Amino acid sequence: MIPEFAILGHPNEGKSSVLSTLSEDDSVRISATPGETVECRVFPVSIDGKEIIKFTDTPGFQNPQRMLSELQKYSDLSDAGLEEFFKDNHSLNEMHDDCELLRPLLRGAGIIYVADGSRPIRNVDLAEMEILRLTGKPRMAILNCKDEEEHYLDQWKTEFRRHFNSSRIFNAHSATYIERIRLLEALKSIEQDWHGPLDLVVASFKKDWQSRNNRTVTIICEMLSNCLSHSVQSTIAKETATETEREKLYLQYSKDIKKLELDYHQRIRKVFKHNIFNYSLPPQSILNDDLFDQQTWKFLGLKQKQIALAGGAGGAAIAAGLDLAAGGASLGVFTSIGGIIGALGALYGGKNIAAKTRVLGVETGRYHLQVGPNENPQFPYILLDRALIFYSHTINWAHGRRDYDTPLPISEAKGYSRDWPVSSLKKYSKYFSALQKKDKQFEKYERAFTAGILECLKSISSKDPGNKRNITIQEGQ
Amino acid sequence: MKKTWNFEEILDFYYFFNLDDNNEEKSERQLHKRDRQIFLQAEKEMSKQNPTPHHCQKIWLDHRRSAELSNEDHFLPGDAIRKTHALLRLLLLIGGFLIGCGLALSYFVYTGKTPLNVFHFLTIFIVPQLLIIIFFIGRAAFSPSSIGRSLSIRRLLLSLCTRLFFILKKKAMGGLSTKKRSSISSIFSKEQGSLTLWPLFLASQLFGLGFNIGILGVTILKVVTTDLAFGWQSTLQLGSEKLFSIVQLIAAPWSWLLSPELSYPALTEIEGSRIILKDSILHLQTQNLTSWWPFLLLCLVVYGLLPRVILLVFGFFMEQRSFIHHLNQNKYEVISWRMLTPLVSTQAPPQKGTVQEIPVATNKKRRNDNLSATLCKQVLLLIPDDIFDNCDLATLQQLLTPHKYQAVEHNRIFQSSDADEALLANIRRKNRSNLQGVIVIIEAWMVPIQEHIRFLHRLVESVQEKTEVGVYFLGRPTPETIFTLPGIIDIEMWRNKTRDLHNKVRFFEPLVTEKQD
Repeated sequence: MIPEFAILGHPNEGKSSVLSTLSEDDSVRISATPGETVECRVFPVSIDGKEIIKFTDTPGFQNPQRMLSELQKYSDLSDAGLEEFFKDNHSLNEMHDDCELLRPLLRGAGIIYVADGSRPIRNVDLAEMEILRLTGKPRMAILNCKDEEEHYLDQWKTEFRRHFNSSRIFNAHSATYIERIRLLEALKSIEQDWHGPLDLVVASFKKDWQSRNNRTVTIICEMLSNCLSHSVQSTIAKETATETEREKLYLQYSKDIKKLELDYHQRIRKVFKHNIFNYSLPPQSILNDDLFDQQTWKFLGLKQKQIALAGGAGGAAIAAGLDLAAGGASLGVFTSIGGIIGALGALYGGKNIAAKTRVLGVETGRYHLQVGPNENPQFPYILLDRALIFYSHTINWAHGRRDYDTPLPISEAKGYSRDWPVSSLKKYSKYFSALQKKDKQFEKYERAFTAGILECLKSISSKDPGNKRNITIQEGQ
Repeated sequence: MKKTWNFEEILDFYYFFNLDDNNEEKSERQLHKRDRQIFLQAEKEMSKQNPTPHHCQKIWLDHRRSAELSNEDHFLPGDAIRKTHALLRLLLLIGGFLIGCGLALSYFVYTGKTPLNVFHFLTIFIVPQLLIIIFFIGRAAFSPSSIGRSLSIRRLLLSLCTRLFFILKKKAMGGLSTKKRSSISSIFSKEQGSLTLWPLFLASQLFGLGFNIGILGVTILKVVTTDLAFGWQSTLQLGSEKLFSIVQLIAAPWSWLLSPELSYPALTEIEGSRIILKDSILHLQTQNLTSWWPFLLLCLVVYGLLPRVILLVFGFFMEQRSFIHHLNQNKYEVISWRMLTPLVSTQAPPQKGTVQEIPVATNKKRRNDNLSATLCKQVLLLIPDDIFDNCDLATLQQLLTPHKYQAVEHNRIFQSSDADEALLANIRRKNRSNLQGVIVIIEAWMVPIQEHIRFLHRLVESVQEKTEVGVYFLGRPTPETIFTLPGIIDIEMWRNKTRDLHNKVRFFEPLVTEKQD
């Protein structure tokens, strides 16, 4: 028999949200209006095409006190007793919907009871818990707190101890990968016979997550490879390009890079199965700023000293670092996004723009003007930090969440790269330098880079995104 | 399954990988499914529990090859390259052999007048080979990156190989799809050119091997079947003792293994084989003139043939290493990830039917009864058991008075279904004429469930028609009070769910109309 878990509770407590987050399925219908779920719906967890466990979403109790009253008339509520109760009451109009909730239990399902821990307990909740206790099925309670209110948590925990094998706090709107894994592992506590399948599911989820991280690293490497080696060219009539020509070419270059970055970010999003996740980042997110904006370059990437120590392109990196320092805070060369001086300053890290614009050879009387590849040693770190921040947003956006306008409590005071040791930065800088020059030697440094980024992704995915509540497990009676 | 890779397998691997990479029709999920299936099928036959990524890549390649061969328009570039590569190696081996034979034959011309000069033998057949090997070893030692750079000979061989391939397979490739042709062409890209270094190195060693075998063969043939004489001559006043020391040094690698007579000529033999042209060779004894041939043969074997064999083995080892290094590239790891990562699915089948639409309720205003401002209706107050004990009746009455209601009796509801039934029965039984209304207090933030809505229905049926029934909503309780402002959305939700009751229940209104401080 395949282990099944029926998700039961009062309507609008977040049962579907919990399921959506557990199964990473955006398409589960969720809304603030109760009654969205109108029928029981099974969510099988398959591994290699074979069903291992399943979750059943239910509409919620509609007549708990009546049902409890009827149930208490039966002395025997073993499987046979429950079956008898079902047969006797299923045809009654008043009891029909609630009897339908018992169907998964008749199949042998375990119970996951979901309640909103931010509201007070009511008699209907106690009736529901008592009903579930009387069924004698393996059962676990989840507190899905919709608000920040913690005043009622102890009430709930006390009642949970009386009625359930174990309980857990699981916020469907902010649950991370680690919390999902912990919930699955906690399910083992309600029925020993299900350890095997649950272990398999947890192991597979972990491998799947690891695989997704690996894919993300590959996407990031590809993004860096394309962005760092990207250049645009145009032909000009005279040997000296005009400001207009340069500006036009620069704008084309920056547009290309931004599009490349966006495309790769979308690919990362797809890896984490966010289909309806509206890519509206939190309003305060630095990713809302332009890639070449002053703010971006101020807060992301490396500190000036780190650039110098990292070596990057050798002497050029140090020179760029010093130049940046000489330029003052925030690079000192930015004016506006459209401003040619500032924009190209970001590109080349220097003030003497005209000298940096390459005019390539002569061909049939025409000259070629080229912008890029970007040689600024900060640039790859900026791209990297933005990709990692995007990854952090993506994995922390629980599938059960639907409030797109509410910001995520993710700290973005600085990028991730500033925390990396100098030894790693040196290797990465060599990698970036090889990518910029399209040097085949990049393979030599790629392994160290991918290993480092993978570790960073693991670290990000195991962090609590700001959920203040501790996750606890309680063993009931 | 053999653990080593050959060049053809690497090319096929790259070909199939490139096909997948450029295939826009197949999603990542489909590729994952396919590769996972490959692994699961192979897992049954595997003895190892934890296969390495290379093992996975081998399994993947074998499967893809078998699958490709079952297609109508099948084409395996590895197979084609194998034939080309084999042809090239054969040509180089035979070419080297023939050149060695030719060179040796041109050297071994002895008419009885002047013995064959051993210095010539060493200078033509041994020294150049040694110098080439020392040069490349030295270059590799001082500048390892130079190994990867194209040499003229390598570029020439690569170009030859590529042309041969396209000439031989032009017809076969014509029937392939554009994607497959593109993938084949990418095999010969610059990126893959580095893969040809060691295979071509091995091929060139085969030339050297053939060359040395040719020389060796001719030498042995000439020694056995013809009358040869070897001597040495020099304008430099090189003493026999000096030459003997040099010969001993050269023979060092084999002299410890063989007897001195076989290893190198003796001092007297060296002395006796010195050629001074003005003195002719008549005084030189045959024994001395024939003493050189074992030494020369051994020089050929040790300094000519053996380095080639060593370089072949070394080249094979380096070839494997370069293949493994190539396969270790990050981008190829995706194959082992797909194969080793279980396919996890948590998606439910599509939901049938549509979501039930809950229309937005219209604002239900309280009907204005024509009551005198001073008169209050006497009402039965029904309060949920959950808040009954916390309900300050005086405060509650204060809130009801502006609405012209006077609570004369209070009862608990929603304590249990039996208690509710009993209450309703009591109401029906009493049927009091002085009871002008029934007010139900409901916490609006609690979702309207059938049980509570049915209670309202049953309540309306239980009272007389003239008895007014109304519902007042409360918001979420605070630690200080239960009399809070309910949310507008919560009220609307209740009004929607009780649409059937709008004609029978006077109002559904918030009890508190402004925030309680």
